[in-house]
Amino acid sequence: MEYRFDIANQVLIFVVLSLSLNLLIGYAGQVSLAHAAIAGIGGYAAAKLAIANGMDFVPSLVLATLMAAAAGAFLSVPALRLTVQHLILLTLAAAVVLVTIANSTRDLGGAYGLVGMPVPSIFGKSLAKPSQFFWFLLCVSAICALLYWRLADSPYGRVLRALREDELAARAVGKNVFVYKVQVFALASAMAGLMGALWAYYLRLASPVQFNVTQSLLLVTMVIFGGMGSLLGPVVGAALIVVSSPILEKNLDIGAEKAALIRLVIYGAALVVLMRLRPEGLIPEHFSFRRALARLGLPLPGAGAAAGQQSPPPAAGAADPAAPAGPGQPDAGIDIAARTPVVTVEGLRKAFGGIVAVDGVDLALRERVVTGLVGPNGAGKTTLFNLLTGVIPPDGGTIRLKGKDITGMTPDAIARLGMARSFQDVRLFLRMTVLENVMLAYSRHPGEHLPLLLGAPLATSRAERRARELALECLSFVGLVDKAGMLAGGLSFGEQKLVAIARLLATGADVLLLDEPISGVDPQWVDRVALVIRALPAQGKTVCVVEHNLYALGQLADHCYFMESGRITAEGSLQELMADPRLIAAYFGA
Amino acid sequence: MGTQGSDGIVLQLERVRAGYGGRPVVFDVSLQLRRGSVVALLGHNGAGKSTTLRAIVGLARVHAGAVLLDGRDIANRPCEENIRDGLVYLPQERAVFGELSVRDNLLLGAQVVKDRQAREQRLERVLTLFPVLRERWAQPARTLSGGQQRMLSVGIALMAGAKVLLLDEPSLGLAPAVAQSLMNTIRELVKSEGLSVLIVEQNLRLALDLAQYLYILRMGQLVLEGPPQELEEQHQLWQLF
Amino acid sequence: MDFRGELFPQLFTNGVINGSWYGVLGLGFALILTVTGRFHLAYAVTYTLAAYVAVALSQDVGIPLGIAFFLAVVVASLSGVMTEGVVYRPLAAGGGGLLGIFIASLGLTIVAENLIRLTWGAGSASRSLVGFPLRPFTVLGVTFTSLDMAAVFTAWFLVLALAFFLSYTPWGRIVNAVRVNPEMARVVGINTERVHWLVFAIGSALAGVFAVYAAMRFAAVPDMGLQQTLIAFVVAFMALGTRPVSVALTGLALGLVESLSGLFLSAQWAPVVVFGVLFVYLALRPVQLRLALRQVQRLVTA
Repeated sequence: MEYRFDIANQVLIFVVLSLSLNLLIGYAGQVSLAHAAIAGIGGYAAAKLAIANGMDFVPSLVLATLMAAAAGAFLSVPALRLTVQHLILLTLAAAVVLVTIANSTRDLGGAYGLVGMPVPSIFGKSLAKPSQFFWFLLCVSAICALLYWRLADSPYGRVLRALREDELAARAVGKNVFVYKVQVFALASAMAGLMGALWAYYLRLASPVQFNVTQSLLLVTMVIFGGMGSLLGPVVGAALIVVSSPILEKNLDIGAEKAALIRLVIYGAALVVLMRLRPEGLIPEHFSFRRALARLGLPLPGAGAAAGQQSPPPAAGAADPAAPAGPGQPDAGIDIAARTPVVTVEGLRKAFGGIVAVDGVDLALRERVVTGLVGPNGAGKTTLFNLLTGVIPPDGGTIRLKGKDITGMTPDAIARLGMARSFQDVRLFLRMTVLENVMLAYSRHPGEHLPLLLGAPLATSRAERRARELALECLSFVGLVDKAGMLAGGLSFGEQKLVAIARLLATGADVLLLDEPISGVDPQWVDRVALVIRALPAQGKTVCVVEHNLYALGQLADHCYFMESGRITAEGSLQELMADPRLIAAYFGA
Repeated sequence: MGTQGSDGIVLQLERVRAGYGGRPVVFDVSLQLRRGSVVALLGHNGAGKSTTLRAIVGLARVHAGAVLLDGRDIANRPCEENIRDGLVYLPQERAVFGELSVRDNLLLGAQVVKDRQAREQRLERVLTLFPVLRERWAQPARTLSGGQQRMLSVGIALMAGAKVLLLDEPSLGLAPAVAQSLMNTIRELVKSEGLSVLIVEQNLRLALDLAQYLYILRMGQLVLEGPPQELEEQHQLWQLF
Repeated sequence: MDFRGELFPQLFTNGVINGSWYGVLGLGFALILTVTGRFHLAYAVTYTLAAYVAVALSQDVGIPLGIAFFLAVVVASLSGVMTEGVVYRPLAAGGGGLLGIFIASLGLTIVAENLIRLTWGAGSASRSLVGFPLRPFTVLGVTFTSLDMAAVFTAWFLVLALAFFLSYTPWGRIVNAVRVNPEMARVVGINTERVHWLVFAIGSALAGVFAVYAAMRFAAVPDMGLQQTLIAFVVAFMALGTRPVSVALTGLALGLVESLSGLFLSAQWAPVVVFGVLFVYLALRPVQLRLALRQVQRLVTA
């Protein structure tokens, strides 16, 4: 019996370790090869505190957890701006350094590690035997798993996955990337540290081999094997890998050591094959047991809901662009000058090296007007967009949004103040559903903030319902409600552009900057996208469009600014501008 | 194609649908290039001009339709086989090996030419056409000016034995005078070397001056074609972009 | 401090020996990385495999050491080519990104390491390759062996040979072309796939040569590859340029830093120095530091 409990304990420890690693790799997209080493910080801290300071079981666990969390947060700072391969390298370097320190410091027991830890006990009950340890470990693991589940399957987890998919796009819908990365590193490390400490107490030993790079690689294997970014995947991955060793041992009648080696060979090979055949792991990210059961023809557990799930409610009153009043022509009689300017730009300047890309631009985006920005390639239109949305800081001039000076603010801050942008290359979060893409844009969601997510569950679920309604409303505005449950990556390019507009609407921003919303769209979708954009002013939106397709721009914009060599040189309707031979020459080359 | 006969056609596209991965960007494009002529492909950014060129040489996928080189369908053939038949594409901007010397660039152009003597002859010819390349012989290509880099890439194409040249926005980023002289060079090459050129150009003026025939692409589809004078007289061209 | 000062010549010599070694490994890794873009962790497999093949052929089969050496290098070369052909290329064609290739590479490394453990017995898997006429020399109080001399000589010979190959031969030119501008390389009719084979063959052969040296100098152990691959990573990522000589010099510098740290720290701490350097380098934002170092380099060479 004790033998089974021993295996169960190992499974629990590795399950929680790989769950925490999944937060990093699967959700936030931060590949770390230092996870075992971080767990080691917890293990060594607990061992040292218990042996040298005689600290009790529970306080030492708490301290060990905190130390690992601090180490994780420390590691996250250099990790903030690194590419995947550099992050792999950085965490690898951190792991090697930590293990070497453990290996070569006499106070940490060198290669043998810290031995002779006291028997852990809680409320006076000894946890010496595996069976005794098991119940305590099960409780702690359950708490960790609940925390993991709460973080992963929530608005918070959704933001993490958005970071993984596209950081810049996440910032554009108002998410503070920095805070999320530091938090997730600290949290994952805290969980790892706690498990490291428990493992040390369980073995009454903290040694380098428990926490070396090979162990980190094994943890990565468990996560990938089970399925990155899937809630249950790592549980399956870790359990299978841990349990297979004793199973091999029994069935093949070989020694424990040999069984462990064969197990590793099998999993190494499986990893290679898996990457080829099923890169998403055994349990993919968007796996649904209901759907799987339905496919097998088995009865569904619980209520007999449809297998498809997420059947959205009918469109909630929003303007349906599929049947609009005036098909895609700017209202002829609109008096531009009478509209209040929402965004005013004065004397905006930006130089790159010696080249002045934007040279003293003045312009106004007026309320409920679609303003076009035209000009030849290299005129500075993209730079102007980037300046307006805070992607790059200006050298001079001011940008005011509804009277407030927003010059020099960050993209996420500007987005929260009510000016948001779309991207030429769309930048949807491709491995998330259409609905999730749009829900992400819902601002001020309490569930995206750690303390509120954990402390105010009711407010969170209320907000989640509201976000969902809003997202469906925005999707019905662009006419894509029926695609809500699909992965964004599976849509056509034209549909993706529409989802991007829905996402923009869901930010609640009233100034929308659209970067080439038409270009690259299949012909049959162009009219649809144009109709949606034309319907925006009626929703109270102020819109600015950069578009090289003049034909489409002519249908969209009420008013245009002509930009050349970093300056605005003319304004008026597109017809007026293109009647000027000088502007024609400037646009098409002379 | 009223103004073009059916004889003397080197390159012909028949209802080509092409793109990257599964996503088509270009729809049912048909066009013809006659031997010794210059044809321009125009359109707004993202209209599918580059994709059309890349699909012809095998750098983008042709989903449907035919690409005929001298009457033979070459759709989705590997790039190197097209070069052996004298079909050469020069990409936008980065059409040289920046860190390698002018010499290496030119020799790499003759990659598919096995005959040593032919190679030497061509090299001599290219250096006569572009004396500046002889002066910069040992310098890395990236140290050349923009205009010189374009000449070098044309030189690379000539070294490869180009008969049909596909040029992707050669004037991009060049000063107007430099762009103009590059176009003159191309015009002379068409005469002296018997080249046929399909050019993608964003500078409408340059294209109208250089090409004998224009195709205008909008959102992946051909919307208009004809000789430059005719188009200029009959249409307000900006409305097509 | 006096006693430590005396250590300097010996530590410096050790640093040159190890550094030359690191340089070649880094060069093989960097060549593969810069030309094919593959994050080739399974470089470790090639390395370990070569060492064990040499040991098996020489000790178990009884083939003369020189021939076993040669065959081991050939096997190393083939293993690299096979990895590209059987694992990486199909993955890349199926849309597996950098991470997918890295993970597959990781899987391969785990398989190889543990297969070796299984084949040669877990505990006693350490096999040392004997037969080299090992002779110690002492010059001015500095001790080294004939094997060290051979290794350093081989290292620099290989570096210079590769430099010559890349700069002065048609194939070298083609390899450079693919590295500098892969699309343009395809445009002029270069078969980039074939170039990838070549680069994997050369890079893996370099690893093979030094794996056999490692088996002679120390012993073949199942996890020998991973350690050396990590060092090759560091060298390849920190190298100031892609020219073989500058990669090799980066390796040399790393070897010297590691060895000379022995003046102040005990030898066990050497990895902390090597990876600490890497950590600081990465933490300080690669691009900016690289630019700063380039400036310094320019000042020095100008």
